[in-house]
Amino acid sequence: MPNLQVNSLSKRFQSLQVIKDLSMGFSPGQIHCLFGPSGCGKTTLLQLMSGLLTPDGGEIRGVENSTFSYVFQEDRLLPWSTVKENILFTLKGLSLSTQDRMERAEKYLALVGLEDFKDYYPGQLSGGMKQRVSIARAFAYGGDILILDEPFKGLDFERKKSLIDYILSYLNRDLELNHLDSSKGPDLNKDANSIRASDKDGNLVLSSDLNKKSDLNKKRPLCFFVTHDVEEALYLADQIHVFTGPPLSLVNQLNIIIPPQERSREKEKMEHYREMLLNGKQ
Amino acid sequence: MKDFIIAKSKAILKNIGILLIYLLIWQLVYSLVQREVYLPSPGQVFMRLGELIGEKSFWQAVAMSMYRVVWGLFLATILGVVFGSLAGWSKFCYSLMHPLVVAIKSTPAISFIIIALIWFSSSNAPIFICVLMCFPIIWTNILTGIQSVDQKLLEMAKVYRVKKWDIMQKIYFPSILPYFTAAIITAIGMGWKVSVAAEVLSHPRHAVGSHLYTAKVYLDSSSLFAWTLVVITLSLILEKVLSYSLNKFNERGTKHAEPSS
Repeated sequence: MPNLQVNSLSKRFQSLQVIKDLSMGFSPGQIHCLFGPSGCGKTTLLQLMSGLLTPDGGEIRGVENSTFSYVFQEDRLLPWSTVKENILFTLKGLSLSTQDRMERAEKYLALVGLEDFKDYYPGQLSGGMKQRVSIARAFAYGGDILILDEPFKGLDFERKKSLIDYILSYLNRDLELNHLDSSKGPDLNKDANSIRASDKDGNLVLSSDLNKKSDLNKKRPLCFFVTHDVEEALYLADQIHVFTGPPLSLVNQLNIIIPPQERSREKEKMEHYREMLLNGKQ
Repeated sequence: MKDFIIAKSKAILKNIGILLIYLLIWQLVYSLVQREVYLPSPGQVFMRLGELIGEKSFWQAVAMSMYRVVWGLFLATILGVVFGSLAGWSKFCYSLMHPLVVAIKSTPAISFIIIALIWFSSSNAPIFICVLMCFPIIWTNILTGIQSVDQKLLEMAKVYRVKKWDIMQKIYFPSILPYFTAAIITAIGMGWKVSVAAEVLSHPRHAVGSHLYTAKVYLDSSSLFAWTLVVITLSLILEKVLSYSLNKFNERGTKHAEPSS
């Protein structure tokens, strides 16, 4: 996957200049956190990236032929379709057999723990469950670029944490599969085991060998993640880009080199990152 | 299923009860007025209705009036859906059609009836009136339905590169369907009213309206009431049949979406 490059990008809504002459780059295969206050233009940047908006000026390079998995701030599910139909709806455009589509839908519903709810309608689910369906939809589609726009808004801490773990296991699972066994088809139980395995010796894969890591990163989808919550950012991101605005402008960039699985143990180092993030914010 | 049947029969009993209350009020008012020309008693009206049902001309009139209304509604629906979709799709089409629809809506039905009498045969004039009066209802609701489609769902479909036809089928159709159903129900009531009114003025050989006209000429209030009840009943039957089949269609649509594996 090519480097994603933003070149002197501009976007205006009526009298509000949301993005003005923004230039920056995003390295491939990483989890990028766009961090900043509400309304500073982060969502606009993502909408420009995914082609939902067209820029007034400038360009974004490296996204031309990419597919996107987008988790919106709202769940955006079809209210008249069941959970499973909602996921199948986005898979229709992919060149897959009906059988494969069904399997994919069920597999990712299982990943977010909703396999028993596949025939429910969104109106019958809680807000957190709907958001999980929306995440399962994004995973099942398997876009080159995964965009998560404040996906945990209004969810309690436990729910949030388990969703973040789903996302990490989704991103790392692809990595694990490519690394360990690319010939065998994905098996659900085996997947679950390999996720746990990567939790334990994930540092072997992720941090001991930096060259191997960057090699694997190329196969991992690029992930963008919007938040204004410090804990979320520190828990999930590889790189944190701190913004203010509007107009959207970059004030600080942090690289967190500790793998997410180890962050709860590395309290002191994380405290250091937290301070950097909070100071950058001011 | 059993519970469903019990609930259904309870609902029917309740409706019969409500009907009896209104008949009682009618009878009471009749006893107060005591003039059959002003208000015939329910008994007389139902007697007259019984007589009418036995006549061949009754069934001919009912069949022909029903035929006109169904044709009128059918044409109005086709036109309303086609032009309503065009108006929803393009701003220019909307600007072009909007004044026309507003004009049709605010023109008194009687003006159209008179011009239709000049343009068409006495049997076809009511169909024309029915089309003209029902078209704006369908047009407006289809347009509102299209405008109410959730932009956020459309954005979602765009990001996931869902095909146009799937977007039509799974986002547009289900969003518009409730508006369409409401439009059809309103149009049925309107269609009966205006086409019977047109029949009264054009009096075709077989028509409910023609019998109403005769009742007026002879100051035959019982017949007037009996025929009016016939119109109400026919309108309700048509409404039930159409809303039932629309619901069936809707259910089939969601079942159809479930892939067979």
